[in-house]
Amino acid sequence: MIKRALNRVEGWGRVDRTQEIDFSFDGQWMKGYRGDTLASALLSYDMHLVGRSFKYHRPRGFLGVGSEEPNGLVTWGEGKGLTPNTRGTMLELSEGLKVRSQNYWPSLHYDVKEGLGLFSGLLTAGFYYKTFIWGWRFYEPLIRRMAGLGEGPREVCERDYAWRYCSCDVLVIGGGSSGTAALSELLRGKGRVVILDEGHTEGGWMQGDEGEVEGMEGMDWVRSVWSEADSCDHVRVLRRTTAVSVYPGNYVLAVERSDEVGEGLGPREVLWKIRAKEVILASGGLEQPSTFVNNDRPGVMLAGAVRRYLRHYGVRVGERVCVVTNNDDAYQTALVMKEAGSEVMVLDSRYDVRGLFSDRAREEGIRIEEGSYPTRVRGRNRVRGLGWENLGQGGESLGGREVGYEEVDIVAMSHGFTPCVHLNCHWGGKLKFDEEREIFVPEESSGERFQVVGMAMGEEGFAGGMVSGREAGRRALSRLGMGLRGRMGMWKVGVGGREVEEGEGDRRWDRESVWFPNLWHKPGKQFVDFQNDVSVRDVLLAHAEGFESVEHMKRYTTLGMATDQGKTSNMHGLALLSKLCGKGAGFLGTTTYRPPFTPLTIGTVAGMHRGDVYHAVRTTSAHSAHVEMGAVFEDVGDWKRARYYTQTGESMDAAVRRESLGVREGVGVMDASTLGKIDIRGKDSVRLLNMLYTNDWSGLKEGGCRYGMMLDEAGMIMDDGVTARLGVDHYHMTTTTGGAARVLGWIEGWLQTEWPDWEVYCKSVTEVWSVYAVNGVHSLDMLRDILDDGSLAEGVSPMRVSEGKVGGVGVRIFGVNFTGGLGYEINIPSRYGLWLWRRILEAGEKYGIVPYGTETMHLLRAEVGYVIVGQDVDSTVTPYDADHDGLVSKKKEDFLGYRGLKFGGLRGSGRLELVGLESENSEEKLEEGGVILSEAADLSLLPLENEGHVTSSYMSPNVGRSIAMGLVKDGKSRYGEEVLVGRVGAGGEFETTKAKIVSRVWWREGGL
Amino acid sequence: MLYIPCPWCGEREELEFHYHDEGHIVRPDVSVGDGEWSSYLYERENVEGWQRDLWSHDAGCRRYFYVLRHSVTDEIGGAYKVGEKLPPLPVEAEREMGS
Ligand SMILES: [Zn+2]
Repeated sequence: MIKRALNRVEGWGRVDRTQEIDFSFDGQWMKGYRGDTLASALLSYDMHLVGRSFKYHRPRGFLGVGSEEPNGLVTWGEGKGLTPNTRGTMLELSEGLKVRSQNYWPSLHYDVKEGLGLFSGLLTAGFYYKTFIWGWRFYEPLIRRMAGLGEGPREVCERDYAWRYCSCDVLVIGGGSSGTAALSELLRGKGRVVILDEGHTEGGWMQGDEGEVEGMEGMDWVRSVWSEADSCDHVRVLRRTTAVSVYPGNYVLAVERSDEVGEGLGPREVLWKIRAKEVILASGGLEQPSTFVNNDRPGVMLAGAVRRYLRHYGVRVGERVCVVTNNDDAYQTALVMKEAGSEVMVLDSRYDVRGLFSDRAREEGIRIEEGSYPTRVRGRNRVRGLGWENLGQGGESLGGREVGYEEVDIVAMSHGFTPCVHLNCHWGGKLKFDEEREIFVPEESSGERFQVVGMAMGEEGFAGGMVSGREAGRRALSRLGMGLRGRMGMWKVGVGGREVEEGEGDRRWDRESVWFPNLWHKPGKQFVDFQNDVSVRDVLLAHAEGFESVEHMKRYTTLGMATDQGKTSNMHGLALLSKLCGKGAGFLGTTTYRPPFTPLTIGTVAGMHRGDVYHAVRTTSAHSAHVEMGAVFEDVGDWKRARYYTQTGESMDAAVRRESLGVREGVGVMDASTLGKIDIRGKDSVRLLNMLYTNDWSGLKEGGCRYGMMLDEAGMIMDDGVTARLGVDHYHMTTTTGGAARVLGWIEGWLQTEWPDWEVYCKSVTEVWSVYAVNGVHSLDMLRDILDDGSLAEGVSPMRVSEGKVGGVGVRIFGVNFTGGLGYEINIPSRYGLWLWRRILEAGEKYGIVPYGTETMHLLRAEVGYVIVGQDVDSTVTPYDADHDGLVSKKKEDFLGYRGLKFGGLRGSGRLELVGLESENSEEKLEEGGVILSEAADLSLLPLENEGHVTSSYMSPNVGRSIAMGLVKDGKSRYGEEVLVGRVGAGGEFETTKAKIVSRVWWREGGL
Repeated sequence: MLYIPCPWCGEREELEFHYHDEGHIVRPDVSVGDGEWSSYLYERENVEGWQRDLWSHDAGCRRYFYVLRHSVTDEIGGAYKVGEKLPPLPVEAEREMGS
């Protein structure tokens, strides 16, 4: 094993050679420098093989240098900090970093699954879909084991993840040459600016490219602008930060990674939520690979990446380099690799090659094979050599005969660039196809405050990119009313020691229409999508099977669907399919670009929302007392409600039995504070109530309470509750716990839009009052005991509200209950809630008071046939269906839902109506949700007619049998009839049980 | 995510608001037939272009108000209070409607 970093070249690179960093890869310890990525450090040891591919387990090495990397996925950290599927090109080296390769068995260098070669024939396009038809059960376990990325962590990460919010005047995405040019203008203005770049060092392509600005070497200039920004109060500089999605209105999400250095690390990742008045997108371009047989072997890399490893990291990735190109730009790689001492040759698919860099390469004596295209790469775990064929003048294949072969260890390929337009498309920005250059470029947006500059806009050359960046910066400021004085000065921009002007050195897009010259006659795999292992043959197969839409082809072949979002594969896939359809490369358009631009961790998405702060909860003022008493809680909306109180580990059934008997025979208390409460005042209050409820409220006297149902405008039940009249124009409305916010919004909507001239005001007072329901034969006795002597002006009585005092604190006592029999609801200002709860339990001791929860409340109300909105009735049920005919006023000429109730068919036969149900066997509890069938139903004749379902079902100790309610077809006219109730039996089969339709009232005070 | 200009509070994040319905739906008299009532309940213009929405500022002033919004681009063209004189739709819409 090589122990020395032989590829690190003295005198090259910008990493800090004074700061050594120890890291390990698959257990082997190595050294890198501050500023290295894992990729640059491994490549300095000439380690190209770093992983295995997704489907075929082929050996893979780093293809790129940034977030476009499809191959070099690794797992880093261990235990609680384990993070899989990180691109080694984005993983910054930090002291003690431990990294593992992924997706191999048993070892990275020898993988059995690849060795068997078993799967390559199976896993072609559409394999999954075809297999689903016949053999999925057989293949699934095999495929699950075989195909996959890294394994997820099994422990909970203790480091923080955070969200941060930020608004600014101008956001610049990307810190390459054009983004930096925009920044340099923005620095001269006063607006609040945010600039972000996903690298740990700014510069983008500038890190590897030649270029001079105002006499400075390109990267020196970039760094000088950024360091000025660092010290600027109105600029926030975010390095290691990737913009992952852009939404309409310039709302941008970006992920900042910690640099993992130093004591007391901050959050591991920060999700920035940025709102910018102006966005400048300078996301650059993505170099595209070429397609030839074995174009995925370790050592086959993108040409731009090869020179960036050298110029920026000081790593010369190989000794003998073959540059494969169809454009002038890749000659930069040839020139710089030669300068660093590698042997270099170039295969150019074009003839009569001329250009800024190719001319220089020729002068330097670099061997250039014109009209040549690779046939295949030799070598398995590393490139050993490359053969090539000659192409015709038009780039067409001449039969594919190999005319040359050279032993090389690096293939540096470039099939031109494509603008990185993902973020432009997220928010809805459109693309147009540039026929001449065969690229998709953003359409100039009109009115949108979103500018795309530089290579992302398809800008020609270095100088043009700089100008577009600067102009965008100035335009943004001027649109914000912060325009800079004076005209934009000229900058001297040069390449290779020679000044270039805008439009000159159009190196990026200078290429011929050489698309896949050797599709047909080559055995072996030519990859289009490296991460998802999609080859040219898969696209051919998809086309042969009739796929002619890019969206279909994408899903069928999985091309572009991997975690790299097709950065190095989509364009080739689209162009290839278009070509197969006999059209130009852009004919079929693109697939939809969706967020995120790069994968983000679940930790980042969750942020601080985990554990206790995962979701906001609402608790009542007596919550701590419930906890002390062994309450088991249930969630009702955001509320925590005591479901039952368990003593010495009794089961829920046992607790409910004890609680429900205790309430009926003595006295019970329940915390009902979560009920929605709305205070209504004003002279039109009763007018409002008459519109909201189905019944008539005109006759309700002061101090009176009344039950009401609210309907939606279709006539269906929306909510219910008791409302009391506290004064002349003052009412206290209660709603269901879950419906409180909805009802208040409903009321406000009507008052503000339809009846704005009414004098009535509503306010939520849900949290102002704590409410305790006391029920049972001794409830009145107990109430008398706790009320201050003589504090009650008049006595308490059913459906009346009275005011009194407990310990000097004013309370309201409502003579209403939800359990039947004797019962009251005591309201006290919330700050006395806990105190009153304890006081009630104390005073109730001599009556054997039982605190009870919602489960018992549900049972007790069912014993007297009360309905729960949302359980027994919902928005498909009218008051008639709910057996509340009497609640609908015959006198009123309008209320919300009035007209809806008159719809034809709502009162005819065939409606599902609420009735009681008793199972034939009194010990058997019917299943809630169980389907109701006619007694005469023949289970062998499908389909069966559904005659309704069970809505509530309980075992009632007070009644001495099981009881249930259900919505049954024409139920109200079928009392006494028998029906069948379906359920799923123990063995998973459908079975039925007999039940009788009965009245909903099983229990009455003083006996049955 | 949209910025909604509440006529009472100014521009705020969409998160603070609740969309209700198309604006200016008139509740018919209850004497109308089933057809007209169900049209009031369920049938909407569903315009491709500029439209008037009914929103409320739930996490703010809790007022209901109208928003001019382009249903394709989601561009917001202004907002106005209930009872205010209807502002014209943005010019593009006029042109769209004219054509
Ligand atoms: Zn507001």
